[in-house]
Amino acid sequence: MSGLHVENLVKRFGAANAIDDVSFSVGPGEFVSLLGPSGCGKTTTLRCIAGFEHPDSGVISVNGDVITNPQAGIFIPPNRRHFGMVFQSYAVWPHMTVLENVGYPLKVAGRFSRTEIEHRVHDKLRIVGLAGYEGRYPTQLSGGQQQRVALARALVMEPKVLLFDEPLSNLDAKLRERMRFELIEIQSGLGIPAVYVTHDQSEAMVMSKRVIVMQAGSIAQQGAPEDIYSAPNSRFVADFIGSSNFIDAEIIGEDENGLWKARAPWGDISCTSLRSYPVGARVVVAVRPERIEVTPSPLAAVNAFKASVKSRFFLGPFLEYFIEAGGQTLRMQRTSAISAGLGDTFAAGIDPVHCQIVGLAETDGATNASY
Amino acid sequence: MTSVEMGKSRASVFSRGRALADPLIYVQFAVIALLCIMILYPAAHIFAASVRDTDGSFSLRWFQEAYTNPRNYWAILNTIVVASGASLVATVAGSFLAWAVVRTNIPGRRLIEMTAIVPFITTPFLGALSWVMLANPTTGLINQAWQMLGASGPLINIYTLSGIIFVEALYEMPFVFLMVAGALRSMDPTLEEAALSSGASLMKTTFTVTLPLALPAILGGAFLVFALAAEQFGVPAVLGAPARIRVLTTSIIETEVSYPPRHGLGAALCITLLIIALGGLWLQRRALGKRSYTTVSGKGARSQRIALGKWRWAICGLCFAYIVLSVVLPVGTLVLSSLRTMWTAEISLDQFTLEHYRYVLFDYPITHRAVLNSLFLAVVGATVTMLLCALISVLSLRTRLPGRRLLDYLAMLPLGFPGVVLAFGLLQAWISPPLVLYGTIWILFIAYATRYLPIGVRSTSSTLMQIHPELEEASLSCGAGWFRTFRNITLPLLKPGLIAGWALLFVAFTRELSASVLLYSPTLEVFSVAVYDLAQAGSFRALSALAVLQILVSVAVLAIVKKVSGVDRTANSDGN
Repeated sequence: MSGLHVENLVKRFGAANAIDDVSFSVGPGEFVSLLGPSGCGKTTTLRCIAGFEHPDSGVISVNGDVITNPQAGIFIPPNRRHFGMVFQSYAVWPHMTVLENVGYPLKVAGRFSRTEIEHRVHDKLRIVGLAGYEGRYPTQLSGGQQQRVALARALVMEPKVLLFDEPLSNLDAKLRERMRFELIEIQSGLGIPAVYVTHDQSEAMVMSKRVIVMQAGSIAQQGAPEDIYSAPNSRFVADFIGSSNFIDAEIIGEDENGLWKARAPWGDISCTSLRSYPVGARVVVAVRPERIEVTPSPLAAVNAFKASVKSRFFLGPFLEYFIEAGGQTLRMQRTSAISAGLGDTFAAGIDPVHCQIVGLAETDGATNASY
Repeated sequence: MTSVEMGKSRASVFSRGRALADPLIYVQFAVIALLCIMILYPAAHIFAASVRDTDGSFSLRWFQEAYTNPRNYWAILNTIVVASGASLVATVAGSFLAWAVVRTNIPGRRLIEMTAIVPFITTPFLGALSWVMLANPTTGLINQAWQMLGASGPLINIYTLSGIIFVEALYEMPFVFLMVAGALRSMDPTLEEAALSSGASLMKTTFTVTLPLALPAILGGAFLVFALAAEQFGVPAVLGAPARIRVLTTSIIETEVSYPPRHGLGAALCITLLIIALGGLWLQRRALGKRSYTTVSGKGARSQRIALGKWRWAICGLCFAYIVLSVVLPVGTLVLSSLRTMWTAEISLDQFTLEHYRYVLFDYPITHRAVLNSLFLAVVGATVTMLLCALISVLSLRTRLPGRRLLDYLAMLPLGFPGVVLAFGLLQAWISPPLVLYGTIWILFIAYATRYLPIGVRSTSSTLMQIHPELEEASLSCGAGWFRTFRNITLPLLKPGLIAGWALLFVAFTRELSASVLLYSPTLEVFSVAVYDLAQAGSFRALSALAVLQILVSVAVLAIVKKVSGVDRTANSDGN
C-alpha cells in the first residue's frame, strides 16, 4: 500500500458538495495532475490531502498510514503530515532570508544542528538553481526565484508526498514553460508521489503521467494525457481539454466495420464511442479542429463530405479556418494553407477514430453553434 | 519509530472528533470569556443598577427622575444640542475643506491635508483649556486685547453652549475631512467627465454629481461626529461648569462624585447616553452602507482640478484659518502660558521661566505620580492590548471556529460605549467583592484596553487581511504547530500593524480622560486627570506645562514610530 490513496472523499461547504465522492491513488514517483476549471474542487481536494481542510467523509492514507478518516475520528494536523507543499502565492516569508526560509522545516523539526541545516539548505538550493542566494531576502528575488525558494523549502524536509497548488500560475509565460520541465526533472528523482493542481490543460498534459479531470466536485475522467485527449468521455472533457467541434447527430446503427453510424447535418458519419446508445438517440460527436482533413486520406474517406471556406485566420504555428457543411460551422486547423480560397468548396474528411461520441445531446438543442 | 506506528499513535491523540481535538477552540473560549468579563459584565451592572431601587427592588424611578427633573432633562437636551451643533459645523467645514484639498487648485494643499493629524496633537480637552485662556470673558487673551483696543466687554465668551460647540467642532472636524476626502479620491473620475461632456459646467458638475456621490461619506461623517460629541466629557466639563451648562457626561460623573452617590440615576443617564451615541453610530453605518454606488475604479486617471481663479486665495485663507484656530493659537497659548510668570496680553522677556515644568515634574507629587502612572499604563497597556488584538484578529480571520463572528462582534462592541459609560460600568462591577479592582491601577488598565480594543483590532485585522493565509499554511506544512506559526510567521508579518496600533494606543492611553476621571483613586492619578485637577484649582500655568509635555510625548512617539516602521528591511524591495 505504498503511495497516496484518496478514497470516497466528500467535503461540503454548507449545503453544496465541494468534493463529491472522489477516489484516486498516486504511486511512488508518480506525478498526477488535478485539472479542472475554477470551482471544480481540485484545490479543495489538495487541501484535504495537505490537512488544511477537514473532509466530511472519506479516507486519505499515505504508505499505509491513515491520515484522515472523519468516521474513525482520525485527523493528523498538517504540521504532522510531513508533506511538502508549494503554494500558488509562493508563500515565501518576507521577513526571513532565503536560508531561513528553506531551513525552516529543519529548524522546526529541532533535530538538526545549525551546520547541518546550512548544509542541507545549500544542497537543495543547488538543485533548484539558487546556490549563493542564502543571504537574500525574498523581496530581492524575482517571482521565479521566489517559487524556487518555495520548492527548495518543500524538498528540504524530504517529504512523503509533494503537493503543488498551481505553483506556476503567477509566473510569466516563458518562465512558466521552462519551470515545468525543471519541476518534473526534480520530482522524477525523488521517488515520492506528487499531486499537482492546475487549471492549465497544457501544463497538466506536459507534466503528468496521469491527468485527473475534475468537474463540479467529481472526477470527470482520468488517464494518460494522450488517452484523454483522443478519447474524451464527455462533452465537458472534450471541451475543457483542447478544443472541439460539437456536432449534433442521430444514431442510425452500425457500419460495416463495427463502428457507430450517425446522421450528421451534412450526411452520415462513422464514429467511435466509449458507451453504447440505442438507435435513434440524439448524441453529440466531438471532433478536434486539427483532425479535419482536406482531400481525405483513405481512412478518413469513409467520412468524406463537402465543405466551403467561410473565413481564415493566421495564428503563427497554424492556420484556423471556419468552414461550413450542411448548415453547421466547423473549426479546422491546418499547419499549411489549403488551396481552396474564401467561398470555395472543397472535399473534407474525418477519420472515424477521431469522431468521438461524447454523450447525449442536450434536450434544448442549443449545442449547434458551439466549438 | 516506523511510519505505521506513527500513524496509529497520532490517530489516537486526535480521535475525539475534530471540534474538540482542535486546541484553538480552548484559546477562543478563553478570549471570548475575557471579552465578556471586560465588556458585557460591566454593561450588565449598568442595566441592573438603572432598574434597582435603593432597597434593592425593581423600579423605574431613576428613569423617571432622569426624564422629569429639569436638571437632568436639560442635560439630555444640552447633549443633543451640542452634538447636533458640533456635527453640523464640523460636517460643513470638513466637507468644504476636503473638497478644496482634493478637487481644487488652492495653494498649500499638502499643508492643509495635515489637518487630519490635528486630533493626534491636541485633544479636544486641551483645546478647551487653551481656549479658556484665549477667550475667558475677563482674562482671555483675545478679550484682553479687544479691551486694550478700547472696547468694553468681552469679544467672545467661551463659557457658552456655542463655545462648547465651537471647540468640539474644531477637534472633530478632521473625522469628516478624512471620510469625505477618501470618498472624493476613490470616486470614478469618468462620472464627472461624463457630466462635463454632457455640457454641465464645473460648478454644476460639482453640485449635481460630485457632492451627491460623496453624500454617504458626508452623512457618515456627520453621524460619527454626532456620536463623538455626545460622548465628549473634557470640553463640557471645562467650558460648561462656570456657566452651569450640564450635559450627560458631566451629569453622570456628578452622580458618582457627589455625596451620597446616586448610582441608579447615573445608570439611567448612562443608558440614555448610550442610546444617543449608538443611534449616531447606527445612522453612520446605515449612511456608509449605501455607498455602493460610489464606484471605485482601478484606473489611475485623475479628473481635472477646479481652477478657482482669484477665489483660490480666499478659500486657502479659510483653510489656514482652521489650522490657526485648532493648532497654532491653542498650542501657542499653552506653550506661552507654560513659560510665563503672569497671564497678560502685554509680553516682555523678563516674564519667561521654566519654573512650571520643574514644579509639575518634580515638586508637585500628584503630577509627578501622574506622569509615571500614565507612562506605565501607556507602555505596558498598549503592549498587552496589541497582543490581545493580534490574537483576536487571528482567531476571527484565520480559523473556521464556530465562535469567530461572536469574537469579532465583541471586540468591536466598545466602539458604542462612551468612555464615561464604560467607566461607570467598570466602577460598579469592580468596586465590591468578589474581586475589588477599584483602588488599583488595573481598573484603569482594563478601562483603557477595553475602550481602545476596536482601534487595535482594526489595525491588526487590516494588516492581517493583507497577509496571504498561504504564508501561515506553508509554516504548518513545514511541520510547525499553530503556536509556533503564530510566533514565527504571523506576529513578525503583523509588525507594521502592531507598531501602528501600538502608537495609536500609546498616545490614546497617555491622554485618556473621560474614563480615568471616574476610575482614578488617590496616588493613582494619571496625566489627564492631573491636568483636570489643576484646571479645577485654576493653576493654569502648571496645567499648561503638563499639557505641553503631553503634546510633546504624543508627537515624539508618532514621529519615532513613523521613522521605525519606515526603515523596515522587508519593505525595501528594490535594494539589490
